[in-house]
Amino acid sequence: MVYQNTTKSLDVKNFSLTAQEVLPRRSSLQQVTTKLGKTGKVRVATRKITAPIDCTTLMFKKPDPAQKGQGYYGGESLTSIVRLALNVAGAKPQIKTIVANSSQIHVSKKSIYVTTPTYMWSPFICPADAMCMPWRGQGQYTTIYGFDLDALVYKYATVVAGTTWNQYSMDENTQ
Amino acid sequence: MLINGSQLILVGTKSQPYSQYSYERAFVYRDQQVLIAVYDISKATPKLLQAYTYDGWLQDSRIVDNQLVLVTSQSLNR
Repeated sequence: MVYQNTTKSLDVKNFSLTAQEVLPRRSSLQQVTTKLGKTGKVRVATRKITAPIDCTTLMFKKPDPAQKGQGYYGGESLTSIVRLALNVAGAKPQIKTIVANSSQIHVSKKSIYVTTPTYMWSPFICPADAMCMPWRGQGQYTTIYGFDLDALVYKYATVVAGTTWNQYSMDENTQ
Repeated sequence: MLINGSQLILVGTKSQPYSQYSYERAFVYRDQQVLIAVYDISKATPKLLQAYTYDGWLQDSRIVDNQLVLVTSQSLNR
């Protein structure tokens, strides 16, 4: 995504710094409260709640010219997990945001799993020093991002071949 | 729409008018927002308890142990 938005070639060594400057660092959620005034009009008030964005899951930290035109950088997005306690009056939502696409999810009492299907048009080799998955051949893959639901922290990501059929295709083995 | 005991939770997505948003200049698309509204439906007249908006669109939602869990997504411009 950063590569295609750049008009000049980036210094490979400094790209991670560039990404940090470009990527948003915080996400914000807006609380909306309404009160019925004495005049009968509804008063609406808003308040922002912000949370940091975790960039540790960024799969491609520096541009790879070989990927240009392959469409792989397209559609990169932020995925947020928003958790709101329903049994606590006035509880603030907690947010965890990572740089990743998202599709199907699976939620257990302890964990949440977010999947991202990806089709690799050509074999991909992770550039040296980049934080990304190892070599993958052409084909359909699914990246799985795991989160701890209690602490609302990102745990890990892994890639498996193929794609999930639907949300009921997933289960958790805690043993 | 989700039910948690005596609470009704409405979750949806709303779009911002195109004219209010510059797609070309923004790095993060903010054209859509997720709406969360929690109502107390224990009485005949529902009462709004909490309401939130969050940038992005809704991927999916769950209720686990009295917790509402949402997964939202927000596109990055490239």
